[in-house]
Amino acid sequence: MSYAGRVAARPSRPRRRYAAAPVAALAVGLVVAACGGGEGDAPGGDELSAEGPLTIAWYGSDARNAAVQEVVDIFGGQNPDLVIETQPTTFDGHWDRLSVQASANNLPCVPAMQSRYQTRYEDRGSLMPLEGLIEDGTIDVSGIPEEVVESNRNADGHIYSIPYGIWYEGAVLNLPALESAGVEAPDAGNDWSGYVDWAIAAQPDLGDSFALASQGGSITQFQMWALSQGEDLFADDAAGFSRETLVAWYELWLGAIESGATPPPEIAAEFAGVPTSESMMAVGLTLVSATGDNNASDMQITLDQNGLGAVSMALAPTGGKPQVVGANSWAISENCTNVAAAAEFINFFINSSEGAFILQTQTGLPPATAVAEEMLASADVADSIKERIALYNEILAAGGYVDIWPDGTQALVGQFTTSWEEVMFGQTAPDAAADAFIAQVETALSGF
Amino acid sequence: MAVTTARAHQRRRRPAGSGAGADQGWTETRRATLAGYLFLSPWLLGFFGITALPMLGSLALSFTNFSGSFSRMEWVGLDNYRIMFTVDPAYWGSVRVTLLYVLLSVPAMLVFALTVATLLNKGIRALGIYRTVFYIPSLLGSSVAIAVLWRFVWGESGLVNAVLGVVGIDGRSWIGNPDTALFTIMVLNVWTFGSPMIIFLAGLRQVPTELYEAAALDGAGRRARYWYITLPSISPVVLFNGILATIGGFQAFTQVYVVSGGTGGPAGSTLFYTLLLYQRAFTELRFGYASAMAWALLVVIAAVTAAVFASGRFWVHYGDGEER
Amino acid sequence: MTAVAARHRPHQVSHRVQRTFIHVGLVSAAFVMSYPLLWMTASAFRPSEQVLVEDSLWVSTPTLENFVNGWTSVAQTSFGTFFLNSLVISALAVLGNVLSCSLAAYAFARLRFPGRRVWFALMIGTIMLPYHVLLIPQYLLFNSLGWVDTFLPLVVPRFLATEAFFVFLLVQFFRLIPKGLAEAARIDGCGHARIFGQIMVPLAVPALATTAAFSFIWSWNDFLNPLIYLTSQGNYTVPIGLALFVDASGTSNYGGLFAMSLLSLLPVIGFFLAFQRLLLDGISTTGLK
Repeated sequence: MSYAGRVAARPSRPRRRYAAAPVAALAVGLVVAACGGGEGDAPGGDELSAEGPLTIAWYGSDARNAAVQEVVDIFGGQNPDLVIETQPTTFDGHWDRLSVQASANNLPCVPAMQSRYQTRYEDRGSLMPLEGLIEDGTIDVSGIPEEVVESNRNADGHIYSIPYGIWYEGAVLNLPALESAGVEAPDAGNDWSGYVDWAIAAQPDLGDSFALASQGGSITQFQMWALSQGEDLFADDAAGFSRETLVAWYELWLGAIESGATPPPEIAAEFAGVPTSESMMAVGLTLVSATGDNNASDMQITLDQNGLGAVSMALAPTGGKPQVVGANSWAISENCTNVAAAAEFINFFINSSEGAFILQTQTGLPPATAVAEEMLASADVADSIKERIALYNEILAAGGYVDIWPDGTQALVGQFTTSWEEVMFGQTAPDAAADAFIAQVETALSGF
Repeated sequence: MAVTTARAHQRRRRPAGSGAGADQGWTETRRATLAGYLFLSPWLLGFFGITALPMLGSLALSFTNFSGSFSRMEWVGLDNYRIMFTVDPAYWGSVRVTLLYVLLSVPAMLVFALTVATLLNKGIRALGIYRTVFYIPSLLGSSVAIAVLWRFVWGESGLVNAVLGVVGIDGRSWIGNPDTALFTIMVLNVWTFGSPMIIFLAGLRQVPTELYEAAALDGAGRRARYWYITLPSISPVVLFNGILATIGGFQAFTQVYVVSGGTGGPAGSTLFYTLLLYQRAFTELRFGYASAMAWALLVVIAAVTAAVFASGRFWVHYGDGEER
Repeated sequence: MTAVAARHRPHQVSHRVQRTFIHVGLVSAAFVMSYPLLWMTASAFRPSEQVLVEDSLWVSTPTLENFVNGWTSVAQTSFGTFFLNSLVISALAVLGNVLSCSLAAYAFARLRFPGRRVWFALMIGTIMLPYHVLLIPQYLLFNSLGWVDTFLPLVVPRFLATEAFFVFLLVQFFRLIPKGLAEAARIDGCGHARIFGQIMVPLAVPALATTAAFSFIWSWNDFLNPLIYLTSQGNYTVPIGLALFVDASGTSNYGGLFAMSLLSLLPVIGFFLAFQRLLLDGISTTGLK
């Protein structure tokens, strides 16, 4: 091959030295292309735009999406001249899509938000401040406890998201199975070390099942642990927990594995990414764990199939300290052209008891107190749902609040699990792992 | 003997009389140039309109801290690259995982594909059915169902352990153990060998039969025919499959995303480079940083590909007499 | 005569033995390869709650409910719409790829023009960048054209040979075709268009069939691009529909997932089988004038 041929055959690689100017121009070009929408003031009353279709996006599985669609259709029936487009998709798909749309200022009018994801959109100016609409009553949040609404207030003083469903993680126990093994259930006022002690004591009576599923990789339960120690996950610009707390957490669960009260590392890792209906609780491998409150029914279906017992929820082990809950919310995007319809829709959705009964808490527990009361009193609502509502009321009464995560922290969920798995498999010592994870938290919080 | 047969065959094909009339040669060049660009015009339009601009855009982004909002974007120069190589704790781990994967599973998959394609090329009956059966796994390889299937096969109480149990071996959780989880992904790659196999088969089918006839007349046995005729004749296809499997290996994403649930497996043992890139881009919204990761990867892939192409001079034989 | 016959007989026997071994090998390999899929097929006919519990291939209580409720359970539309959308997009992708990639490949493989090597290298280069980082720049591009929520971003690039995989594939296959045929045609006065249409294309049918089959399959299975560009439910494609069956944010429906996955394999397999015949016919280059 000739020299010329060989040179030409190399794929051209841009020379960075000389590329600064055209590359900068390209970046400017991208900015211009993406230009649109700035940060507006909170709108109010008469000046609301009202053109074009109302686009609503949310996430869920088939069954859940169908229920939400039904509620949307009722709203549509009340507004026959309004064109409504719905864009439901999978949970991960929803955020992937929103990220791309946000960068082009092309978000749907009403995107679903969640307490661990919303800050990133709020901080980037993609969402419209809503307190004006709240104050003048266009969106009526009077039925929702004030602290729940206030929890959604962003650090910049605006409220961008309005909760329509509350979820929380609590302990889940297979009481019938425990009973038949002659073991007493753990005390709900415990913290996690209390639960582990209970598990170690109970294990000898339990045969093939394990008393407790390891929570070592669950950042939510670690948060409960931190809360029980008087700390928290995040504090302004740094981690809200101390190194000692995290090391104690790792060692707690290492001890549990060693004593055989929780499944060995390989099994735990195998079940790590598994959907609820296949989880260790669902197949009866473990008898106590922690999970989201809306997962209990999924577990129950599989348990029923094999006659392995029944699950019920309890407070998360915070040793009596207030625990945190999460929220699913609606927001209005900055680039929405039909804010009037968007506000009406949100108002309808959060206050409609008809909607709540259709949804059957698939999208979270209704935050409006009156609606929740109605469900508690109704014969059409399953007992398990009533239990979850009652538990939520307990949490609120004990000082629970909606925990909004800072921007950039969502990745920590996976990183926490990886960090624990490295400890669990003996690849890293708890001290080193704790230092490394705290460093990751600080990187995430430092913003970019 | 058979070597000279094949090579001589090629030499005989080279056009004679290239000097017949300088005028005709010149118009020939002009016609070829015009025709060349005409035929290439759809690709040129696609390249400049749809591919090149976004690629350059992502290169530009790699020098910024773009994270979803253009109005808050800032130029950071080489900072992303610096962080990537020296600060990011997961980076070199992902490089290691990806390199292991490319070095081990790509050759294995290609050998397997070529073997099966050769067997299928022998004109056995029910060829169509076998071919389809072997191809179906690669259809499922990127679907959501594969996560369930793969756990079903490699889990603690899965198929593989059931089979091993029959032979008396006590299996472990292959998918839950960081030492073996990557191996299961490699097997998944080999399991979805259908595409390269089909391409090998198509290439085998295009080998001119008279080459075989000539060699048989010369007395070459089956093994000699395979080694001296079949392999060299399909060497352009081997190059193709090799390069694309390698590039694909470096960029492996969908399968590992689905099987590990997007986490990178137990203790980061299946955290492939592109999976880490996806996490940084979409979970952490660090698009500028992810673009830097992408371009670093491109440089490596380009280097490897160029090397393989260059090596082609020694073992790839084209029927048109060119050695490039 | 007898000597020749004697030489052939052991050859025939070992030939048949070899055939049997090949068959046995292929059958067992096929079974091992297919077991996970056979299990999935069996599970599609099991009641949804039993799916994850049973790992044998035997279905004790077969039912069609997964197919029925999988098809209809989607909010606002049926799975049939997803199938239709996927079919339209994939068919157009096949057409676009076969046309544009073969044109470009002919230029690269057979025509000598200045800049050819540079373009070729750039073409290969386009495969090397992970598509995730192209997502946002391309979205901005298509958004400014107003193509979001249409099929256009998924189809138009196919007509512009943006899938370099196929261009490269066809280049390699075109180069397998001996030059002499084209030379002879040129001396006879054929233009490049005729050479392309009447010599190269017919001889590269196996490669074109491969291109068609893979185009269809990849387009059918594409998840991320339809997710980003198709926002109305009526435009969704099959992979998105499938993902909705098993999402962590709601009740999972494994029976539905497997039933619909099975159904969605059928067009792909069908397409594949149809094009197999073209792959099957090897072409001898002698006697073609």
